[in-house]
Amino acid sequence: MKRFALAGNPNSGKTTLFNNLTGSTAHVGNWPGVTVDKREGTYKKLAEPIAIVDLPGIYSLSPYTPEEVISRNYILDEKPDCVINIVDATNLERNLYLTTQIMEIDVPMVIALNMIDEVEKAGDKIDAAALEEKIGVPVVKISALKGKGIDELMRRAYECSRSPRLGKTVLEGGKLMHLIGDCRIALEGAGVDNALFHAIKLAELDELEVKQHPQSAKMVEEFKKTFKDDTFGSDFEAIVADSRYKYISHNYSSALTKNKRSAREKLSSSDKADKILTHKIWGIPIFLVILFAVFHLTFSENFLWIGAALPEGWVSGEGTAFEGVFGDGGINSIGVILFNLLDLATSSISDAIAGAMSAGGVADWATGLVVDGIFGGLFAVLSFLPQILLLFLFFSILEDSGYMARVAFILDRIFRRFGLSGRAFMPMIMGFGCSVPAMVNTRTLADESERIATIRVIPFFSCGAKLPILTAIAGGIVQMTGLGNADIITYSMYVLGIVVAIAAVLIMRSTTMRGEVPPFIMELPAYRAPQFRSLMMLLWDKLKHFVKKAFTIILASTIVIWFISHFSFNWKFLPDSEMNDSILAGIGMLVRPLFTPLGFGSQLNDWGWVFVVAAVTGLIAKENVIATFGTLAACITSGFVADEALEGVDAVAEMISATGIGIPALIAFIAFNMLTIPCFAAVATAKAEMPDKKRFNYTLVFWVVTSYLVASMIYLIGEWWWTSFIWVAVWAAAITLIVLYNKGKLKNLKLPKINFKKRA
Amino acid sequence: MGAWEIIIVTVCIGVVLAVSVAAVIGKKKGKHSCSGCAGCPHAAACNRRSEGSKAK
Repeated sequence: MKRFALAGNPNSGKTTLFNNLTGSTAHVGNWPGVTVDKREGTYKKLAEPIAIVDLPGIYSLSPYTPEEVISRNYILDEKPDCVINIVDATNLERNLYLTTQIMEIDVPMVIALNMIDEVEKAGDKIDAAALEEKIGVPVVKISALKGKGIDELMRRAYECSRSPRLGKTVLEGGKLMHLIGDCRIALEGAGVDNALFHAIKLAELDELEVKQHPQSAKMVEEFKKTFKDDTFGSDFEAIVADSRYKYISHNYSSALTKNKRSAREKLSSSDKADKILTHKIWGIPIFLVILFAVFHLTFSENFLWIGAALPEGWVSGEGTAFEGVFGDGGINSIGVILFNLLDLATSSISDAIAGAMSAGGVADWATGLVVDGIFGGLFAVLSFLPQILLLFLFFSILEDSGYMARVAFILDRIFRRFGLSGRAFMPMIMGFGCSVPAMVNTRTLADESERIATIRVIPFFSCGAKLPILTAIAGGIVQMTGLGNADIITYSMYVLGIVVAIAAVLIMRSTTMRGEVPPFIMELPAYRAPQFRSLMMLLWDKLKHFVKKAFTIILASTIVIWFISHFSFNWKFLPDSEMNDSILAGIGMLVRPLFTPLGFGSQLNDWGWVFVVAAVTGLIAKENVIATFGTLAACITSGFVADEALEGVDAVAEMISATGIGIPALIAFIAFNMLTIPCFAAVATAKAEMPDKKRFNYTLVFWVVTSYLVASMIYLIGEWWWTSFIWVAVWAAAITLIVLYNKGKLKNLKLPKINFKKRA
Repeated sequence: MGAWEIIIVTVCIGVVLAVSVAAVIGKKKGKHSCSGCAGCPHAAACNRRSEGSKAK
């Protein structure tokens, strides 16, 4: 099968074209660096099926970051049958820089002038035929988003792939070309493929090239001694870049006719928005307000706080089937309404199944297994699906509009003080969806220490799977205290995650992972209206995988939990009221003293082990925390704790209060689950992305220590306020030690050595 | 135990075994702990076959 590679600058629309060609639903976003790994699909509209390879965006073939290396190596080593070079037509001159480099490789290529609709909308014109004549490779105008020109592009790419193409350079200058020519002859003599490309890279002293061809690099050094440029001296990279841009501006730009008036208008409207949204002082408060608005729309039970102004019982629907769905005192936000409706539906299904099983004469224990065990756990998690999707939708809208790229820019000033660049914000914000792609996205960070620090703190940005924990416990706190601000509790916990992440990075970057923060250069994409199709595709993807996960891992976990919570160590079946003698309870009680400093250990009553068990099952998948609560709560409340049978989240809230746990311990429980070792998938990704096993092991220790420390601090200060003085003293001592360590004053400190061998 | 109870227990054991076996096979095939996150750059590699079938 023929293989066509999609290569181009970041945010030029490669993945949109890939989705269009292959019918895939790969993630697209309005910011540079969304794609960090190559992906494959198939195009079937030509005479034969074509494998399409979507490559991470690159500005040039001299890579700085790991994902840029992937693109370069693929084009050079895998030798695709054709390279489709996607060029952002709205930024032609800069995008053609990469084109001039790909042209130097012996590979057939076609240029796709993407976003041509935006160019025409702005009143500009690009003469594709003139450009094609000057470059010497086919140029096709397309709009990947609207599907225009795609068939023509693929037809011409297919034609090109039939005949080989030799690389040619656009570089000029007698001495420079003489140097490159000498290098090329030497490399060809050594049997190196793509000798022209490698010769130019060697002349630029490209790091990767020097590593690959050390002998040739020495030879180039000898050649260079006879060469000196008047402007750049011996900076060959600058000489080559200057030569490329001269060529681009002298030749290619002539194919572009700009409508100056429209360009000015467009610039001013973009500037107007950026003047407010990226303001030096107001930028960050505006971001926090937008973030809070998102949480308010998703979690609030008193939307816009207008409940007090409404007549009593106006929205509660007392006595109807929908009692409390749309509000109870205050109006529920859209997220809460959807949650309540799904909760109502799942409760009705549970009741119907319980009724049918009872009528069919099924034994009580089997009914308990199906209704309380399986559906209790499964539905407790599924109820949160609308809120997860809604939150994900809001973040996707912010991302697609181009606002998130601005947030990275405004946060750079703050992040820089803590040892990170604003670029690190993009993977962190992805962490709100799922830690796995977020950790992979750190490949866009050039500095290794910065990358490791970012991977370590990504799980602190609460992912969609942790959302049910936050919401359910926040709901429990609201029920226990009588306050109606579940959204503020949830928002505060998200902010706590961000604060802990920043503090952790600060400590890491000022002790063991010190280093210069690389300069932050990021192209700010134009503001665009989010694409409905792209948003729906993302939501569909999320929904599909959530449901799949619910009916596989979570379903299996609830079954196992029900069994081990209803059998004793001597394999005797236990009714709900005797669950404290079960295998699960035994394990929970054995481990729970460890969690006493966190508030959900030995100080709780007999049922307190449920917290420890839920935290441990959460290591498989974070949804399991609430699934475990759902399964256990349905059994505990239906058989023992409550007078009447409760279902879903109400049962969870009832069980929580029955354990005798206090508010500080509940907040500590959320914090522990948010900050501790993430799910297995995220752990596996962290292991794959870490440079070595040693640092991966440190990462595991870091997650455990951070979560334990923060959760115990929350519990102790919340329970006994005066312990805050002790914590202040501990932190002051830690900061002093860090400062002394950084000043090198601890170098001569001799710690007592323990000789384990002697003792043995 | 009656017929219904035996069916329920068998199905439960079947689900647990199927999920465990699928996880082991998936890991051997290289789908390392894939939880199918939306936007995951590895998703295409995991679902390569299904993407091909969806293509136009």
